[in-house]
Amino acid sequence: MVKDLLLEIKDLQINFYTYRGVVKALNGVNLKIYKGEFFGLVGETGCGKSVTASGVLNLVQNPGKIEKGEIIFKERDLLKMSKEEIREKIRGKEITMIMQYPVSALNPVMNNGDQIAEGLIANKNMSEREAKKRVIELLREVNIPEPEKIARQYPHQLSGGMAQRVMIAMMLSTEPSLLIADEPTTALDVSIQAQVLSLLKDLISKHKATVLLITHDLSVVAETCDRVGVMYAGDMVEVGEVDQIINNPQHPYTKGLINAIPSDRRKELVEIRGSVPDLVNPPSGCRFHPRCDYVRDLCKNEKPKVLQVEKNHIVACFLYEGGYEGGESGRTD
Amino acid sequence: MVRENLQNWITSWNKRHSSEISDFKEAVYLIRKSPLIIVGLSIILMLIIVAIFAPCIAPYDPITMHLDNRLAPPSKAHLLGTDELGRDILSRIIYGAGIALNIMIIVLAIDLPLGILLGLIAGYFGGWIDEIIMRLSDIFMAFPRLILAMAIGTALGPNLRNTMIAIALTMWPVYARLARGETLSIKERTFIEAEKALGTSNLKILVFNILPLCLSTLIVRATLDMGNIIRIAAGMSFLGLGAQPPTPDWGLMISTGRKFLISQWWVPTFPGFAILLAVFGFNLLGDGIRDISDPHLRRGRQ
Amino acid sequence: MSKYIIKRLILFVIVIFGVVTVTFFLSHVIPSDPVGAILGENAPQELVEKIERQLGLDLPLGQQYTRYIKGLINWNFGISLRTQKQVSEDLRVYFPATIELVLLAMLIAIIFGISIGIISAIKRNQLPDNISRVFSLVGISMPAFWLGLLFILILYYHLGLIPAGGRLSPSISPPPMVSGLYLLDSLIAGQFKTFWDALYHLLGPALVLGWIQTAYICRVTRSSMLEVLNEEYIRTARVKGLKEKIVIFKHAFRNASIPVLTMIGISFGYLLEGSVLTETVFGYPGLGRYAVNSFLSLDLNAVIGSVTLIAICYALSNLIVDLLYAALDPRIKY
Repeated sequence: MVKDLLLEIKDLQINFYTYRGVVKALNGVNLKIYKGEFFGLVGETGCGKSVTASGVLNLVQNPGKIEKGEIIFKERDLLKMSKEEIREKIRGKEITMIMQYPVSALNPVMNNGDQIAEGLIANKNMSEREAKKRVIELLREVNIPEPEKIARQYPHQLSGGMAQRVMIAMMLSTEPSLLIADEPTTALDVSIQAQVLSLLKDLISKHKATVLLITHDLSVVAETCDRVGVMYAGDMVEVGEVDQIINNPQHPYTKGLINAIPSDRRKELVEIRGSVPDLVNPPSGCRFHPRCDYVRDLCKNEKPKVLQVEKNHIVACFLYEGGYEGGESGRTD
Repeated sequence: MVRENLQNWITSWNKRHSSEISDFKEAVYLIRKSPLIIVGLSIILMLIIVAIFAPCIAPYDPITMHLDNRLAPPSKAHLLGTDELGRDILSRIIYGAGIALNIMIIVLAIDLPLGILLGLIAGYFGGWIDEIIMRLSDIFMAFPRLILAMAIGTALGPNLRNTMIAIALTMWPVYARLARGETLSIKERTFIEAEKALGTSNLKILVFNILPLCLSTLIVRATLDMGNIIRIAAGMSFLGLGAQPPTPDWGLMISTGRKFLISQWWVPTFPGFAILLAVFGFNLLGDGIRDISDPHLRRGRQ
Repeated sequence: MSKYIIKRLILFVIVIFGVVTVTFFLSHVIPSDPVGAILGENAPQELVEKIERQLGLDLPLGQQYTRYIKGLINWNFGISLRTQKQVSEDLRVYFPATIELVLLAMLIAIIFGISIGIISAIKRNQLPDNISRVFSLVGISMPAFWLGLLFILILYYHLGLIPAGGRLSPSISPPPMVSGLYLLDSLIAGQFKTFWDALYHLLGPALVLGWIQTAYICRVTRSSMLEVLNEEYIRTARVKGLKEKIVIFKHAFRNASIPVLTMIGISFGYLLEGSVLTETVFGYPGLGRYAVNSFLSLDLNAVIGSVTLIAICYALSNLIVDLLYAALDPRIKY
């Protein structure tokens, strides 16, 4: 089955120029997302997953700067487009994003309906009346009761779950090809989480969109995603189908993450020793090496090459050199 | 025994407030990196040194009249010229620094404790005490500051001391409200409940737990007001309600020099620059401190 | 929301009442000899007592207070010792002059302050921002009366750009009275020469007051915009692909304007204060100068009258700001 490539990120490097020094947030990230799939990007806080998402939309916040790399979307390099082109053609139309704290992500002085309608009017050239009608339909699609009433209300009157639905309605209203969901359920109650996630899955298949889901929660990934990418400290360390990652993790970090999930098989909480590195002075070579139980000298000196474990499953680690079919270096597929 | 108790208390205080202490260390780091604060502090330091060492720095005595040398333009002998009574303007400005700083310190010395006291009581005990203090502050705040200060100053009699009292009376409501606001939010925090459960008296809670946490906001506000106090005091002296001749107060110098504005412009102009410089320095400091202590703006730096 | 409005109006009434009472008591602390001012120092005792009874000064404090309140409700403050006219008459003449000045200064401040503030925030830490920050910091550090003197020295004496004082040149007579605001009234009457002359006289004090208030408003606009531009919903607006102009004005400024509005209200108070000193320096015949002269000559009735009027204006502007704030911020409404 040949899948269409929707988004390819090649060797993306992003730095943040702060008072304390240069934070090397993304260290050459590679990523491929295919049309129609639900791709999960996992990693601890600070590993660079949200920065990657910002990079795609060219909305990296000050004082960040995209140093090098390519972001190829529908065969065009987004990083070579002018800001005006990205704003006009990509943002809101082709690629949209929902965020972690939905109530804060909504403009407090505009009512909910108007905010959704705004995107429709700007991106789909709808008239105000058409847009308002469509807003009510959209709100119904995301299972919001009494959509007319909610449309007239303001964001601060919404619960977290409702607000996130409004965001979803807003961001799917223009039928984008790619929806980025940056920790969409992290700030919600567990019961609401499940609702929102299943809603998301339904809508995605209905609208035939592709999703890049960013989260630190492996269980969310396990439930919803087709393929998973694991990030650590600005590097993509392992990518594969969700079953492969959960049942056959290769990278020591991924193994650590999976082991850290509390289960009834083990009595104690297992943790990965050490702590997240300071990205102003990141560890040399493989950034995970200070915390790795299998570290060798090679790991401290060179950045690991990418190797293929099995079909659709790759890992960036020296442990497997020579153990698998040689992979292409420098790219994670 | 007492010494041991004190040491134990200090250690446990350090532990309990370790996050505030690291905030403080970060603040010092940021201060060193902030040009606003550094320039502001330099100006203020210079002001303080000038004020303290005025007798050594000033080339002439500020009060003695030299009627043979009135209204002389700036020259080598008198860098900023002389005024209508032949006094060296530079020396008077130098001595004026001390007066301005003195006014500011005394006003804050009255207002901060008064405001904190009333604010803590109003916020902590609530009820009718709170209502009374708040209505009182509303009434004081209902007048534009200068007008109220003028009224009080006139009522008490035109001299420097009464000006300081008048200005203090116009500014206490701000501090009381701030202290009250902080108290209201702090008293709901669980560690206060814990202290109460331990049986700590209200007084001790107020002084040892709530007060230290309020202080930072109030001090930030005070630094923002420092410049204003000097400016309002100058205004009062300009109107004749503050310092009286022959005090070398900057506002008074402008007032008496006003008639010579056209022909001997240096007489009222230079004291004004002094006021500008002083207020500017304090405002720089206040801005810098506010930039540092505001978590919102700090986020932007990361 | 209506609960809020009612609460606020009640507060307004209480404050006015408190203001009036405080003014009364303050005035009784001010050392003043109204009788001596009328009769002179060596008046015979019986005459003094007669006048005292006339003025009600022999009555107990409580009754004096009631008399005062009654007079106040009829807007009667008695006679100014200095001008020998009804204080209310004086106020009627001088008040519109100050209002005109304050409104003009406010207009300047709003236009320049907000636009410079927004530009400053958008171009944060670049040259326009740094220049404007220094200028506004200097602006709020300057004593208004000194700036006024500088303006007179440079703009009047050396450049001849502004006149010596007053509201109109001696050769021009005031326009027919509609509002008391010469600019407005002259336009209504079609007297353009009068209009320009009035504007010419307002220029000096309005620029001084306007410059200083521009600094305040610019600072608040800048910091409020910076804070808002950091918020998540601005990111959302950009993600939606909206034009930057829309993001800045419709999303950012709409939210940032709330503290700016509060500042404008506070500015009004600063302008009332500032008018006191500025009018004195420029010789502009307004309420501020009248108040100062009343204070300096211990003219009690005039002091009470002018202070009460100023305080009422101030309380009114605070009230309007609070109400506008509630109207603009849906978080208060709902």
